[in-house]
Amino acid sequence: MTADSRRLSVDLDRLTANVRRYRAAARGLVARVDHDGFGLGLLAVARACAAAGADMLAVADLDEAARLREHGVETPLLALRPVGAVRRGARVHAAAGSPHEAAAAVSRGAEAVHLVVDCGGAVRGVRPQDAGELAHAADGAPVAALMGVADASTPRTRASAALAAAAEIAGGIPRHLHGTAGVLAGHGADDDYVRVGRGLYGIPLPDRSPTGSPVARLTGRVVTVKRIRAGEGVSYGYIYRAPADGWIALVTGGYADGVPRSLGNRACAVVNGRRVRIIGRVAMDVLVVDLGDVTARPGDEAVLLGDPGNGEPSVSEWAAITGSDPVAVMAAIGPRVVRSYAR
Amino acid sequence: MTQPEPLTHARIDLRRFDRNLAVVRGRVAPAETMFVVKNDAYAHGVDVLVPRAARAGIRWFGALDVETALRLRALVGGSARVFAWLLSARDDLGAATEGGIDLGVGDRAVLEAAASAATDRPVRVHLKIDTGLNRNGVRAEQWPFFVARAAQLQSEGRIRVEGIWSHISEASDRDDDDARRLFDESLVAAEGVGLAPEYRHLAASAASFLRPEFRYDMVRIGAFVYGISPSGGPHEPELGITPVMSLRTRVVEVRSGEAILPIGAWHGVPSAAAGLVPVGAGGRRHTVVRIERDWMSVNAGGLLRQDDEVVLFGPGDDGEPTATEWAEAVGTIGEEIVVNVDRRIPRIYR
Repeated sequence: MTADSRRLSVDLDRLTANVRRYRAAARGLVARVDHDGFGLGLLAVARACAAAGADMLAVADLDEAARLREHGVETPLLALRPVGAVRRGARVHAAAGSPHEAAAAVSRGAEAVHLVVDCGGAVRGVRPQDAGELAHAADGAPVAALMGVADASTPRTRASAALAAAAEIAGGIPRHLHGTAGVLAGHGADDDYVRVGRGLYGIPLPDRSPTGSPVARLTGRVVTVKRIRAGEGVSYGYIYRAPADGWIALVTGGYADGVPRSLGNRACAVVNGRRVRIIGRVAMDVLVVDLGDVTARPGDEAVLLGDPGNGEPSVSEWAAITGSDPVAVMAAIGPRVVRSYAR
Repeated sequence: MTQPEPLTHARIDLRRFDRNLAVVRGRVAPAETMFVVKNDAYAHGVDVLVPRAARAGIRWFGALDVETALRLRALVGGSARVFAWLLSARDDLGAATEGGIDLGVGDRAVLEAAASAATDRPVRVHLKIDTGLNRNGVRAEQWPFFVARAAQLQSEGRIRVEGIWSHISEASDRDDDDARRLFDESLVAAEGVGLAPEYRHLAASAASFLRPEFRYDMVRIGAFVYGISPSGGPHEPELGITPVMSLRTRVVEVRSGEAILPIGAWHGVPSAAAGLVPVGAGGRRHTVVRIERDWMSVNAGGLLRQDDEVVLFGPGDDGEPTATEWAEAVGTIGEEIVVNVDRRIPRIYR
């Protein structure tokens, strides 16, 4: 197939609008572009977030930070874990939740740490009530900010109070805690930054409620169109059998591209503006759709993920089938899929 | 500056790879083994494995598409055969022809496009009959016309039919027997128009191992060379293969009895497996408690300490389950677990 047979198209206008919206909700915005920009491509996403007003970019580790610096991104950077190759002079802050992590951050070239504070139910960070721990946790590393973390079951107001208490002990340094869900619930205005990821990309919350307009669209292409006769099976294991004679299309996009194998018989694609059902097991590289009365030709685009507002399949639909967090769906889009960006 | 071994990495065990390859070839001989290396050798890395397999004597490589095939051609040099089968008439079949790629053709339009790409020498094609999978492949009722046209193009010197092939569903032995019967009939039909190519190929890993009558002249094997067994068995020990990839990381912290690992759903760990599978460390198994976006936790059992190495899946040397055991826990196949290991996690070969 041609190089554009699997594509993830990113709408930078929508990304910009989402960034501005979350930026307006707080005094400052740490835009999460970690894990390769949530799977959309680190560099393009980081540049767009910075241009749209993000005050700081959060990356997964020191390697992602170095990549951004090498490509001329000058925005302040926060590595969410102090791991990766050792580099000096990259002007990066790293999150550290223990003396061990603080030492790792410094030894790997981080300029300062954001001290991770456990604001409720977290598996990382120092406890805010423990003043002694706070003082020693950074183990001599310069502390540039407090980074609150809390699990989803901790009430936001309680997490806020915990971070405020820690800030009083630490005294006068910036703090950030709330993410997409917190901002949407009205929190974070008192903090120096909110730390937002999925909302920038319009990826729904784990309960599948919307966060912004979806910025990404995953498409495959029709390879062949052919007849199927009633009773015939489709793909491995014949989990689908045609109820009647009809037309089917082979489409690029398989589980190696992040289309979960379990979508077979349970999800849809959009071909030529119409919804068509994915039938049979999704294979490593391809899937099959039942065209019904839709006319299609080789080379036609098949939208696998897009904007539900336009009738396209949504990340939430996939997440409901796989039982995963919608944010994991987007990050799983495979390396063979070409990323492209448009305004 | 010396960089330490990455905290999280996928180890690719080259000796196990060599052994699996030898086991597969021994098992299916005298049939030829086509080594299937699509998706960067099932995420193991073509740059290392393909030249290594070529040195071990593998003569056929399965690429998937033209783009991958041309990349493989650059890796293996001129003499090996490279097979591409996910094709459309829009593809650069001229470049494929120039690169000496064998094209798997299951569609009349692609056959014509391939023939048009012929230069001074004919394009090598393998004609695909659809034996029931309903993916690519020519339907049985169209097959007589298809092979007749192929015979004509061959007589004009534009194509050379090197193979006839198909792909089976593995829905049941009976379904596969039906597919094989149809395959045999299509071979007869091809012979009727004067096409008797050197390579008839039908089977992938499982059928080639377990059902000798499916081997014909060549088998196409990916999974078993990487040491991935079918979900539901037969498993690696019965097949005589061992997993090549092991996914490894280290404990970053132990907290409330849980050892925290810096790898999660974003790196390809299936979140549905929490509570259902163990990981291995120092020969012991530790149950997975949680799998979150970019971290997971396992039961420390009073034993795991910060910086201890933990193996999520692999051959079992450290007590870890196989990728297929992870797959079985979440209702899928080992291939999906392995190819979804984040490509940014470094591969360390040894």
